Amino acid sequence: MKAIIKASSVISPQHTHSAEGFPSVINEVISDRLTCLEPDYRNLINPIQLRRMPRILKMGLAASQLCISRAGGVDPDAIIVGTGLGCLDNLEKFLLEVIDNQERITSVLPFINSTHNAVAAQVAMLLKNHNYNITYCHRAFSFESALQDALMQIEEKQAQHVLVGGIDECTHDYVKLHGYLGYWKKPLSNLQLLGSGSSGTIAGEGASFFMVSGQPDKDVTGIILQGIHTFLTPQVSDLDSIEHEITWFLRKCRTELQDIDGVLLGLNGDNHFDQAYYALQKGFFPDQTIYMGYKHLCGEYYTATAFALWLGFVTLKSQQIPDAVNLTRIPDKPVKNLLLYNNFRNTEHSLILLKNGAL
Amino acid sequence: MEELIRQLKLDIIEALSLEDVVADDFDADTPLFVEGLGLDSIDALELILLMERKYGVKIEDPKERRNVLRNVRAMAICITNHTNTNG
Repeated sequence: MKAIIKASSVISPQHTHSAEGFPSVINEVISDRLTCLEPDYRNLINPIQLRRMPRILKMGLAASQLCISRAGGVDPDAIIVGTGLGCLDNLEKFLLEVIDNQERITSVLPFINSTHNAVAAQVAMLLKNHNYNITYCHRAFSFESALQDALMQIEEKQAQHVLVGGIDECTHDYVKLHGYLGYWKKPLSNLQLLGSGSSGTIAGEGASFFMVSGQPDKDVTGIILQGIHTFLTPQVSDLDSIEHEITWFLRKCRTELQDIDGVLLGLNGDNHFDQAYYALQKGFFPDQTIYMGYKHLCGEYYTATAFALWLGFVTLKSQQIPDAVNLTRIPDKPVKNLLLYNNFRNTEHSLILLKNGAL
Repeated sequence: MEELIRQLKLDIIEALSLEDVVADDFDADTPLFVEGLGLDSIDALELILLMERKYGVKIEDPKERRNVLRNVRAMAICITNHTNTNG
């Protein structure tokens, strides 16, 4: 089960929305959260529609429009979105209004815009697209589930071109409440996150979209999504089981461990959960493997792997590993196979394999 | 009345997030729906809520709602009448 990624777009806390490649300047923020650098939406969305949209809808719609445009205006056969928290800001507003007004009259818009599937639905309405449309909300497996469904749609020939997205927003109350649970560090520079070696991480957000296709262009080469694998909660100290899952997954994708050129790790600076990543770097992969980190650029959120997929895509496409994400001192070498490994608080683990080659 | 009309215009702009509109862009007799400001049925619900929450005016009859929400002057007259009747 594999497909070609034809185009991508991401709105993130970095300058990523204006071009498909990796930005030349890194956005440094001293905070406990990273929020998105947003485009001028009036260039992408009808201003009459814009006025009713909450921020996450604007982000999702703009990212989807950019992706479709970069894919040459393809009308997707399916629109599939993954989100951990949906339109959380409007949900908070709606519920607070219900309480404030003693369960009587409430404003209409926050309710309309509070559902998890609002982004996928609005993308379809904007495109006048009546095809398969679904939203997955499975915590840190949300984006992976969306991607898995896209591959299945293509495999079963239900769709040729699938628009897949991963979106989540970081709201004030979300950060505050999870702060009580010790999720976040005290404000620090995001560029110091990965080496901080203390408890907690930085909250983040983003909207990423991909046009995934089962029908390659004429040149039949490109960035291939080789497969996805998810697994739950191996024991914290049980590195063997993580290695076993990776080995099993690579075998399923007909790829040898020695063929892996680079690994994109979901390191988030939290010393409770980063141990698995560090352990994997000590001897499991071949010596010349390039390791990359990305959560200092986007923060931690349920669909952060969508940002990782975008980073993997642009790295393979450009054949350049940006210094800002390169954790090794290995000189640049051709990168053909890239493995993405993420674990969310050691509960949800996911593996995605990308290859630069033929479908 | 003129002060109330001015305030209603500001309330409408805020309640409906009319980001590119200022109070001087429309007058008290400008139609609110379809032509004029170009509002729609979802905006109508927000305006009914505005009348009820801020000015304490509850309009139950759909025909009367349509009449009151035709422009800012009609809304202001309705609020003034309600205030005069109910103190």
